[in-house]
Amino acid sequence: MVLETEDLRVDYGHVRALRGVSLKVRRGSLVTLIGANGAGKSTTLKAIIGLVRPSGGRVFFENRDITGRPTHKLVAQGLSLVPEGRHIFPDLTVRENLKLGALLIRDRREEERRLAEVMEMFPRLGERLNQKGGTLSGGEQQMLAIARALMQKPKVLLLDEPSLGLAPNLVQLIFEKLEELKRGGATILLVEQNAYQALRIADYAYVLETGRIALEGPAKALAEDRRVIEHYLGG
Amino acid sequence: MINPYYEQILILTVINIILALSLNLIMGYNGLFSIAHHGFMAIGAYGSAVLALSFGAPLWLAALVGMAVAAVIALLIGFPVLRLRGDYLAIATLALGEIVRKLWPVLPEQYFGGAIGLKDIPQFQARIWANVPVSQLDQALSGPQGWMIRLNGPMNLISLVITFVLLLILVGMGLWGISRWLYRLGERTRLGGRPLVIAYWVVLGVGLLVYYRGLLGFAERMFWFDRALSRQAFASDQWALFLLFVAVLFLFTWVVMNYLNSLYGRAVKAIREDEVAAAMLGLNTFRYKLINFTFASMWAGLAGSLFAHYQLSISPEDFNIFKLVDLLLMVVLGGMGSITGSYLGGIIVSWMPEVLRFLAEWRLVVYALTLVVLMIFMPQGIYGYREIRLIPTWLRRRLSRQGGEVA
Repeated sequence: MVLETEDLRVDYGHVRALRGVSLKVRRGSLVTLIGANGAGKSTTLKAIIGLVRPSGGRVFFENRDITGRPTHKLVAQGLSLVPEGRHIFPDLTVRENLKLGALLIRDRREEERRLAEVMEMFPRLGERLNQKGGTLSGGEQQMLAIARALMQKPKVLLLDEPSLGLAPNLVQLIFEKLEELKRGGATILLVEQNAYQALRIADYAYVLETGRIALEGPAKALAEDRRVIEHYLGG
Repeated sequence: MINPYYEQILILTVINIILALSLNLIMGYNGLFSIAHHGFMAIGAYGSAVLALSFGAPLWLAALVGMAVAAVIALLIGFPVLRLRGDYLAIATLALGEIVRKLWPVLPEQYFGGAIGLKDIPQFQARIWANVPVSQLDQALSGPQGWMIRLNGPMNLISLVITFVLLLILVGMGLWGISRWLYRLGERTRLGGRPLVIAYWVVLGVGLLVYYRGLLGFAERMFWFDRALSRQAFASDQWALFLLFVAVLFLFTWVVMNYLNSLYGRAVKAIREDEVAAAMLGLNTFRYKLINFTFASMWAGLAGSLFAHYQLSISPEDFNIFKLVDLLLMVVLGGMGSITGSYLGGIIVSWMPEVLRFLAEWRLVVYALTLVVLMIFMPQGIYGYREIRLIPTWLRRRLSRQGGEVA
């Protein structure tokens, strides 16, 4: 297991956001976390990467306890989050945004190599290298956010609702890119509301309901599960 | 010779620019609404004055210690306070500034002077070229080293000219900046940019022609063209003090320019733009905020120390809420996140009270009105998030094209 949470709990004041979430991410797999609004999906990611402090439970990364460790250390160790709502720098160019992703790398040649790799993966960004981030379309901005995280060569990529607010054809495009990443051997933990698409590309899936894991299993099995179909796939 | 009244305002202008630029590091570049800056200025002023008065420290050492004390206190206080965000940070820092002001009367009176404050603070001794105090000037001129001092006459004239050229550049920057701003404003409306800019320069030119007598009168009041006095004036300690402060200001500006381009400066700006994204780049956002806060407060301490050793007396009321209003006005009016803006803000806020002196008690009303009008028409201040380029853009582009990479 490259990433694992054990009975993870988070409280926002008196509100219990997570009531004990245990999940496992195997190296090279794409695991998805689906659920309704307010189920605690984003909170789980934030607790893993140290943006919120868990009130209980533990997080393991490569078999080391990383519970409550500061975000910047986790990023340096190989955990990257693409936050909800993209969070790119709108006034900087695409190239500058990408270079910021490799901020912790001192070696200029290594930086150039990664930039080339990322542009091969996202040719659309390559065409717009000198354009300001804020002038990109929603889908392109999302790709930029993912590309920026990939500049860090993360061991595990955490994605928070990459399809949020995108047109259906762009959603399709983003998920194709994620599949491509997976084929390339990346380890991904994907949080999604778009359960249909997420289950289609994932290996394993967890269903989160009011801060607890309600269901889990191989993605293919869950996609055929009656309860999942009823609640999340609109069948 | 320069009229001592205007000389005083010039020196205070320099101190104010240092304050504006250092506060801009926190508010403009890091996007934190911290309003304890007058407190750190007071700490620098008191620290340095107490050291010089009670312990007889040399002034350069006192100033350095004043800076250090402000920095250390900023570090200690920033540690809990900078974890707050937005409004909460503003409230906490506001309280902090007030605590500092109320602190001086409580501290041992023999050192800190109680509610009355400190007086007879030693003054910075700065001399131009000739190491001779004004009182001994006539004697020295007739002595064996007299030729050296006589040589200094024209040398001082050169330094005077340099200073005026700098002032002219600053005024020119302001006028040119306003024309650029009008151009953008015109482009957004139906008026069009070019007609508005032409109208602006015409009005300015006509205004100058009509009012040139008034300007001459001002220059006469500002500068005393008196042959008998001018020999002393060039060796005047006050004028030397002004040049010394300008040197400190330019040094500070140079440090800030480098700081802003370093990893620290870039990190600070990234945090302003988007703190979550900055954290995702692997930046320890809290650490950079703390470093920036400490760095900026340290320079506020220096400004306080310059103030104390120039003013020669300080009291807790020199650092009250009105001082804070002045500081905020400088940053917001000049422009957030801009060195040019800090200079403009410092100059405008230092000179406005003098220009508006005939309004007496209405001055603060005009202040407030200026802010309101400005926030409506220029929400980012005169030079918000922009700089005057000393090298014109077309030249810069040509240079960088030859150099290969476009910066």
